Amino acid sequence: MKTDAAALTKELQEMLSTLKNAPADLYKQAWGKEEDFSRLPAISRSDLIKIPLSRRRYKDAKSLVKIVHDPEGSFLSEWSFEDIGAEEVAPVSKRPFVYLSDPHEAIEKALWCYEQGVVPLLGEKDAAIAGYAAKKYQVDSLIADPLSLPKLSSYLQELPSPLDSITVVSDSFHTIDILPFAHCARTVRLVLSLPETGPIAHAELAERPTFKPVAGCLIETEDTLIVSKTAQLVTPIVKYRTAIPTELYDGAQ
Amino acid sequence: MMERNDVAVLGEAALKDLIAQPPEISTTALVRVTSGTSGEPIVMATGYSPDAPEDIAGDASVRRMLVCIGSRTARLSNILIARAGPRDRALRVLPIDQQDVDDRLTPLLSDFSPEGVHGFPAIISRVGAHMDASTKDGVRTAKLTGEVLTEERDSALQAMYKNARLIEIYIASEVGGRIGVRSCGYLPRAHFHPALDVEIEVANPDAEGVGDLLVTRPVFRGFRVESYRIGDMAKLVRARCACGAETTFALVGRRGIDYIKIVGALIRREEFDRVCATFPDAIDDYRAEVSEVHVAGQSKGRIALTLFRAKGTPTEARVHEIARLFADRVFLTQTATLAQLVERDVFLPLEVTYTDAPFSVQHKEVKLIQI
Repeated sequence: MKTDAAALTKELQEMLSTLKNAPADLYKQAWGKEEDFSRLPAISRSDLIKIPLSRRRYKDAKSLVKIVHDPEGSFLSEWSFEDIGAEEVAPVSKRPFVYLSDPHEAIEKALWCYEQGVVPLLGEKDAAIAGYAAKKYQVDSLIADPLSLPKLSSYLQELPSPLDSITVVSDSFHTIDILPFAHCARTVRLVLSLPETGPIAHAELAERPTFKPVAGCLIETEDTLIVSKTAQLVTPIVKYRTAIPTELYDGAQ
Repeated sequence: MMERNDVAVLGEAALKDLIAQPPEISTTALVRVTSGTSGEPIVMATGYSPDAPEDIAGDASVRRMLVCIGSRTARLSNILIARAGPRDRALRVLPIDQQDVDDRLTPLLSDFSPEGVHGFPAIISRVGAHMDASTKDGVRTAKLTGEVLTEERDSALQAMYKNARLIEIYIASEVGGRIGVRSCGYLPRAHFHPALDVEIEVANPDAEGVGDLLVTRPVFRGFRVESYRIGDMAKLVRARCACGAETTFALVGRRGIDYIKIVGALIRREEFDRVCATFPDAIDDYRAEVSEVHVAGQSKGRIALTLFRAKGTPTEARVHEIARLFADRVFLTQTATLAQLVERDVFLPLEVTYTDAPFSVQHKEVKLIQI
């Protein structure tokens, strides 16, 4: 998949007519007669909260449906198994350990591991039991979030050798809280992600990390990030206005 | 006969095998964590056939299914089975977490319009309380698993999901899944045919034929549990089922949870549920502690019943009356009530107290406790 902005824009432009002619009408309603990608109005989470899944389902596939809770309201986000596997989440390792606060995201990331051809350990809520199981399974990588990572502190500090990688997935990062875990893995990656968009950008852990968009993702910057993805998702992501401040993308605070 | 500790050893060996030789098809294996006898968790590998042996939704026409199971790994395992289903069937699975079960769920379930629900009866029941009528009416299949389906719960679920066919699946996570299935349409509640590749026996049967259920089944690759005493009580049904199946077993309950054997009597949760239901104005919920005590060198059964009534505790006189009537009504053997066993000096008189606070319910409602 491409990362070049011009090529991505061209590909997204080509997607528009398919989306406008689909039975699902999320984009038809949002865009009206506009046909130029650069001038399309952005949609946002409030549209997903208002518009039922049946009107934003652009393909029929075996899929996982997640619940996304937001202070403004909750909504469903559907992901085909193939699309889950195609996302750029983490380096692939032999025995990944998925330990995330959000149960829907945890299951989805475990499915991502399966789609990469590896068997993950999916951690339950209890960090002590999850850490115990991780030791037994001799996990070699970890997918966590800024809330769940510190809960594994005692497990991580007792590791005989560093993991291959730790991937921290979130829509915001306080790197000062993550830096103490830098020595626990050979690579620590930050993945900027939303449940409804999947990964948007990634960066190596640093005090002020520099994010790069994941393949197939076009990021435009206003006061917040506006994201478009070329993947033919169940609910495609085209001109999706996130609540992620542009300053974060330029470097985590 | 294998016991829980043997399964822990087997599970550990299966996990080492998985580590040493990862599967070519990842979705044929699952790493599970289950509880051991000493409180230490068992981390084990269990396997799946890449071709789902039985339909996950219980009905091939179901396109949208809710999974209502407590553990994330168990939810994941069901999603993997759905994923392994026919390529041309766009089955969508929505796993529900405890944190989702509140009023925010109602419009989401209406949006999803489940045609099938699968999971623990207690969670399915709680989720149903947040479904509007038309969403509930759209459910055609309810696959119940994880706990013994009591008569009370069966009726409540049937009333809740009027158009649903109830299917019972008897599982145990430490052996990798299904043990028995009730889906043929000829079996009463809590009766099962062994699942694919499963053999069952009943050991040490009592006069009623109730004994320890022993299970033989593959767990992962060449690792098998052989005559594993799973901790549940069952009896074999000596008749061929109208569906043609040779073997049927009736699950009586979990040893020490649904079914407690003490001083020659059978304390059955279902019987306690039945008797409590005869006091609709006085009992909204209950917990019973069952123990064996020694009085003057003689072993006796003791039952301490704690009752909850939402409208408040009845008068002391009424509590005494409830204790007397309850003991008269509850059968602890096929022919003897508690009151009769008290007269025969086998049990101490029933102790009844009321609590002001409703009982907390985890994934499963544990009403009988052996102490």
